[in-house]
Formats: sequence, structure tokens, C-alpha cells
Amino acid sequence: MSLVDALAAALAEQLSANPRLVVLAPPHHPVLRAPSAAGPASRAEARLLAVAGGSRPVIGAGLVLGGRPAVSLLEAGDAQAPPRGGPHVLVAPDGETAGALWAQGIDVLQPSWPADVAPLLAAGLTGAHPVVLRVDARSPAAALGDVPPLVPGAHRVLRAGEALGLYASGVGVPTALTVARMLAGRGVDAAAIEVSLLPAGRGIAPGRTDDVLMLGPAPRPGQINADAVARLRTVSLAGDRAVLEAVLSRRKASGRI
Amino acid sequence: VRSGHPRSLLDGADLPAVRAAAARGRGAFATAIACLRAGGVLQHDPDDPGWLDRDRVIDGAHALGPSDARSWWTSAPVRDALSLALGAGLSSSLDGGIFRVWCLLDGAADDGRTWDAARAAAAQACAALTVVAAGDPEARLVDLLRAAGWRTFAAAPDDPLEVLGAMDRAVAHGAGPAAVVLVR
Repeated sequence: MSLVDALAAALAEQLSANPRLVVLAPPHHPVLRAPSAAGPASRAEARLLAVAGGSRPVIGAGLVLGGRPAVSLLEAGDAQAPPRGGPHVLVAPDGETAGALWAQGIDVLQPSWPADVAPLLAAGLTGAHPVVLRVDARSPAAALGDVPPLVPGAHRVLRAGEALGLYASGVGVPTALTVARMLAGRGVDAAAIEVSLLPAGRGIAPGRTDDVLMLGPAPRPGQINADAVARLRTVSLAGDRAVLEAVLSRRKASGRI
Repeated sequence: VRSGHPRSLLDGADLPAVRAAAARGRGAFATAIACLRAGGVLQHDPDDPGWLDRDRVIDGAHALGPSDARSWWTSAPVRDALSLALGAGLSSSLDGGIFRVWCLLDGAADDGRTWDAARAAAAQACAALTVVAAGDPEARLVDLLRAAGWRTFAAAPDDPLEVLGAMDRAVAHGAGPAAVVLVR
């Protein structure tokens, strides 16, 4: 299952569970093809609307003004921030669109695994302000096997390890897990920890944890929080192999390999 | 006291109150705003500004000012006003048109985003949405709405009876979005 498939299923579930939710999609969007999973199909489909043009975020804000939660599915380049007010989830198809909205002050949620999409969509639909849900068509994480479920406000251990920790969120998460496994193959027992849902803390720049992979000591219970993450060293995101080499180089320089 | 949406807007209008309110207002929208508020057109409850079924007024023409209580209208950038109004109108339409959305626009709204929203409103047959257009001497905005499939109803901007009549016909149209066009 891809992230887009997971999004279609999550939207169908939300449309079925919340009779006031409205979803705005561009014509021909994949989610328009399979809404019938949402229980009484005709009622759910009436709230899954195809709307052309780049004004879907503002139309979604109007739905909120009219008393309904909304999901606005964006196309690449639809970076017009809507007025404040929610619940309103803007589904961005790529990092550029999500980043442009983040630059306008909107928080970004980044599912890495298909199983992450539904809880993050549900979380976004509880907010008083718009949030961006970044759903790339392809996710390298999908090929990495199952992981534990997301827990809001907490970190997620993707791989336990004793020697060091690779901390990541957003697009860095699959890299963290891949590199941790590569390090294990070279005898370095590395942990991979996702910190996407840690609450932002003092000293951590907004959005930093959305696209950065960080290197630090192996996790200890009770020691992973936003302040601790903010103090970690950043490593390159230029591909799994480059990150692996960067980590090994730093380990060698510090005499711990 | 909740008011609004009488069988005919003209039946429920308090014309002396409308004329008095229009005389206090300024600009091309003065009479239309007086009709909405003092003429009984607007479905609202002064004691419950958060009433979910209240009519929404989206001001994309900067026609409403600080002297107007913000509880009954929402300001919007001119290029986004119709999109915002469409969203609220769709919300109402899904409930069978339980409330109406009024959107004030002038000639400055002649823009691609307004065009997108106008076409989407027509495609969705959003009958809960009514535009009040004024300050559009070249009628470019009105042409845009008509080209997108909207019905338009003209009225003299300073005549309460004409404005109420046009609003009445726009509300009764019922088959999709409509606009009241204030032209001299």
C-alpha cells in the first residue's frame, strides 16, 4: 500500500465517521476513484467534491466558516495559505508545496509509513488551525517493513540499538532506519528514533524536525525530549550511503569505531 | 430575536429603517448593506452571533467599516472573497441551504482566483451563495460571473425597493449561484 492509497482509505474512513466533513479534491485525483468504501456511498460521495483551480485552500477555509471540518487536497505548487481557523487539513503532494505553506506559518505533519496516515489525518482534524499533511506519492519507508504505531507527544523507536542514535522526522525517518540497519551490518549497533510527534521545545527551531536527521547517543528512557533533540548534531541527508559515510567518519574521528 | 428569510424579502422589509440606515452609510454598497441588516434580509440573531445557522456576509469590497459590528460579517482579501464565500455556501448547500452566504465584491475582484471560484460555484450549483456586485463600471466582474454560468439581477444602487427586489429574485432563483448587480 502506498501513502496515497493509505490517504484514500483514511479519507473514506473519516467521511464515514464524521458526517460533516467535506473533502475538496482536484478533478481526477486518485481519491475520487474509490470513495465507496465510506459506508453509505452516496452520502459520503456528496461530501467528496471535485473542484478545479488553486483556490481549494480558501474554499476549505470557507467550509470551516460554514461550520464544517475540511480537507483540501492540493496539487504541486498550490501554496496559498488559507485564512486561520480549523479543523482544516491541507494535503500537500510534495515537499516544496508543504515547505512553502510551512514558511507561511502552517505546521506540517509528515507520515512516513502508510499506517501513519490515518492517525495523522485524524489528529489534524482535531485542530483549531489549518495543518499540512505531506503525502508524497512514493515513500521509501513503505519498503522497510512494519513499525510500531505513532503516539502523539512521544518518540517512536524504529530500531533499538546500544552504540548510537539516529534521530529523525519527516523525510529523514526512512533514512534513519536504513542507515541504522547498514551500521548494524558493519557491527555498529545503532538505534533509529522518530521524533516527528515530539512537542516543540525551547531552543528547537520550528520545522527543524521535519526534514533533518540528527546524530547522538543511543536513547535512554526518559531522555528523549524536544530540548535534547535540539542539541543533537545534524548530519547530511544526501542519500543513505552519504549519511552512512558521514556517521562512520564522525565515529572514526571520535575514536569510537 | 432571530430574523430573516421571509416568504418574500419585500414582505418583511422595514423600508423606513432601510432608508435611514442607507442614509447613514457611504459608498455604492450603502443601500445593499442597509437592506441586509435593517431590511430583514439577513438571517441572524444579535444575541447569538455564533449561531451556526446564521447567514454569512463576506466583505471582499471593503464596504464595511469599523462602525459595523464584526459579529455579522467577515472581511476577506478581494481575490479570495468569492472562494471563501463559496466554501461557506457549499457547507450550507450540503444541509439543504440552511443559511445564505452574501459576498460583497467590486470591480477589483476581476481576477483569476475569482474566476476559478465562480466556475466552481456554478459547477457545484451552489444556490446558497449570492454575490452583491457594485463599483464595477466596466462590468468586467459581471461579465465574468455570467460567463461562468451565474444568473444576475440588476438594481439601481440607491433604490431600496429595487435592491430588495433583486435580492428577492436572486434568493428565489434557487438553481445555482446568483448575483445582485448594482448599476446606475
